[in-house]
Amino acid sequence: MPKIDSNKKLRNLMKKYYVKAKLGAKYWPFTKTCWITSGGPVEILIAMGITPIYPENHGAMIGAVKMGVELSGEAEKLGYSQDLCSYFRCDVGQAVTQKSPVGGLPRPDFLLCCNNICGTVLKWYEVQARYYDVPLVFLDTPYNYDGLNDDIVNYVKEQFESIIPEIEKITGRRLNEKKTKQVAQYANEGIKLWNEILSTCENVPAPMTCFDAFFYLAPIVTLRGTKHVVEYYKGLKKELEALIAQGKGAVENETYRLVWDNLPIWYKMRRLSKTLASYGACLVGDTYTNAWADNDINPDDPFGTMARAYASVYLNRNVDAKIENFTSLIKKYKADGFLIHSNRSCKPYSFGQFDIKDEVSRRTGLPGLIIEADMCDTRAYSDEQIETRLQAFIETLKERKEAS
Amino acid sequence: MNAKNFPEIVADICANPYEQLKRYKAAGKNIAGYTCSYVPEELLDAFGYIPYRLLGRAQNIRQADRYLQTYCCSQIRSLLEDFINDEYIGIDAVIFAHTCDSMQSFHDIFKRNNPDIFVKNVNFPTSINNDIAFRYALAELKNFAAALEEHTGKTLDRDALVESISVYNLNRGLLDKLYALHRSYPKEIPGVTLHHTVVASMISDKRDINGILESYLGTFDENEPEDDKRKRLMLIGSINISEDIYLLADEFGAMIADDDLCTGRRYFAQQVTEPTIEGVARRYFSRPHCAAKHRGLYSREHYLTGLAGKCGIDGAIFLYLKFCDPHSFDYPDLRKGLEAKGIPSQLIEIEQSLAPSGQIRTKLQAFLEILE
Repeated sequence: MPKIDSNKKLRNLMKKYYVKAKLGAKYWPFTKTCWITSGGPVEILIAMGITPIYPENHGAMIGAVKMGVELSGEAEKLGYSQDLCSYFRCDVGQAVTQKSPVGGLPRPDFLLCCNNICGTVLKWYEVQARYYDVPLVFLDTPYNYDGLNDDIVNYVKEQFESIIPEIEKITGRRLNEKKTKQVAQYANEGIKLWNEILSTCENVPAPMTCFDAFFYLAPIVTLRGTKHVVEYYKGLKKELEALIAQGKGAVENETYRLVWDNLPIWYKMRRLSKTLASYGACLVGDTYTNAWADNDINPDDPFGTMARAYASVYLNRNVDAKIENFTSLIKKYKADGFLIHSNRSCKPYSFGQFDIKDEVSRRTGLPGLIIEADMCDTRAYSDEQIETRLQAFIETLKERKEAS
Repeated sequence: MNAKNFPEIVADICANPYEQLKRYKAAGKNIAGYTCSYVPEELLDAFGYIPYRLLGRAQNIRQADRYLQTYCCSQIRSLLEDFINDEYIGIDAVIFAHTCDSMQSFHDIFKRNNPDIFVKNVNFPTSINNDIAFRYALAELKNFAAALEEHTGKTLDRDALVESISVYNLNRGLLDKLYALHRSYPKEIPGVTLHHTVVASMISDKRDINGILESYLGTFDENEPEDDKRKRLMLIGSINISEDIYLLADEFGAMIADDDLCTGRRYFAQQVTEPTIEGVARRYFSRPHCAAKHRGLYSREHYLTGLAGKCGIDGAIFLYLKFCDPHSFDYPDLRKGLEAKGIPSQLIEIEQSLAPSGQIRTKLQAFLEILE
């Protein structure tokens, strides 16, 4: 991808975020720090001036710098199975050793867990709440087996009404209605901008790849509801639109457009990106970054709309809904095929992928490839095997292109 | 049937679960297969179904690999393999309940691929410790009853529900008594009979089991307890369909004195105290819970150390299915919690789809040597 200012700006934004969070927790007694799951309602924390910390984002950083095996090993020494989520194992490892690209996470005052992305996060947060001896606030968002219904929405909304006083009691802070509305407004604006940014890849050639989107995702996850995110994404969008106007694509001679499913393989981002680019293949869309692109929060009814939004995030929808979503992404981005990461660390994201692959292929007439790996644990990855399979897959795409 | 033969009767049912299914089908009964103890069997029973626990017995998993990755637990993969192999022909409905991520995905996969079977999930909350969750659970059980009404064309009969609850409560009470008697008569009631009786209860009309179980238990009323100094072990985990651990404990002169298993005490613990849907929902909020549910940070540790104290447990065996995440997450902290109460433990990992290996024998033997 051509160099743009937004890359440096993002590094600075995230650096500032971690430095402020770490220094605040250590030296500023009034700071309140909350660890929160990636599908959690961060808007409440932002509105209350509580610093949100995302162990999952931190896990991605650990994976990207290839510290996953070392930190997972620390958790395994304590008796945690190697079959458990590698983000969790890395988080236990960093808590015990204070090792990570940012020297470990700041100690939490409490944890806020929302199980709309998996049941794993609840078990993970139970473990860490016991380890740090801090309260765990839990938002239970039932899975949409038969779609979203009023009972689920009411249940989640009632819990919002109960967890806010709980957080107020833990932190001694009050949630202010005016501030909540403003945060909801920024959150909405950020989500819309993020959607527009991802949609720039509808352009042929795409101005960025999903490998870039995985990197640009951090603010909408961690700082959603702040002005910084809105400003940052406005700048990024402008730069991407400029690239489109100049006809510059992220991949030179973009030939094959692919859509990706599941989390990135953090420790292989560069290598996979180069390998795909060498074939003229561009990842133009993915289910993962899109999970933060379709929430709709109404500032006039923040908790009613948040209940609906948080209960129906992508991973909380059933396999049929995932098939619909994946198919529409493929159509939206005019893809030639799709790649599915079967991720040992993420069972709810991965089980059902065999059905998804068959049905999406049937509906779109496009080929797909399943790659077996893990988002952070390099032990579950084989360069040779995966690159051979990718090569064969690209051959298939080539034959299809030539035939058409 | 002779009450004295009870152990053989339940052993036979347990060893031939598909035969049991065929017998009921031949008798013209409707069978509702269910995957989890959070499925409210009393409701199914009140609608005229025989609830039949789907445990999965397939040893060689081949066809299920077309639908599920190998890092899914063997309970689910075996179960799917059994369905593909037509072992469950005759099942009229398959009922799921929300527990873990793997079962959640399995529901979706199963439903998509079996459009001719009535498949329903009871979307029970994960939280089971507050009034908001209880109200939601109750609404969900009512939704489930409404779905059954729609599917069967019948209306939920209150008297039928009262009768079902009474039958189920009797079964729970009898199983509890069986466990207690086993501790007094470990030779006459071997541990494996507990396992057989619970599993047989899960796949039978409770009315068929209750009478003979009650008679069997009655034969112990006058007996003097055996003077037995066996080491008392407790099993902790999810599903166990193998009798090996019980037989080995006996062989080594120990006993499985109690457990916290889906296929054990968690299945029958606590009575429904009010004969209504509310009562059925309330039981799930008070009975010992599965690791996939949330009742606070220390609820399982406190429960297990309490149970161990009550039963005079000398050592705990974590009998874990590989890839069963909720239980794996709990293991290190539970181990520490038990240790703090002076109860050592041993982890044994099992694969339901594989014949038990020598590791169970070796690990159990070594663990019992430590306890001596």
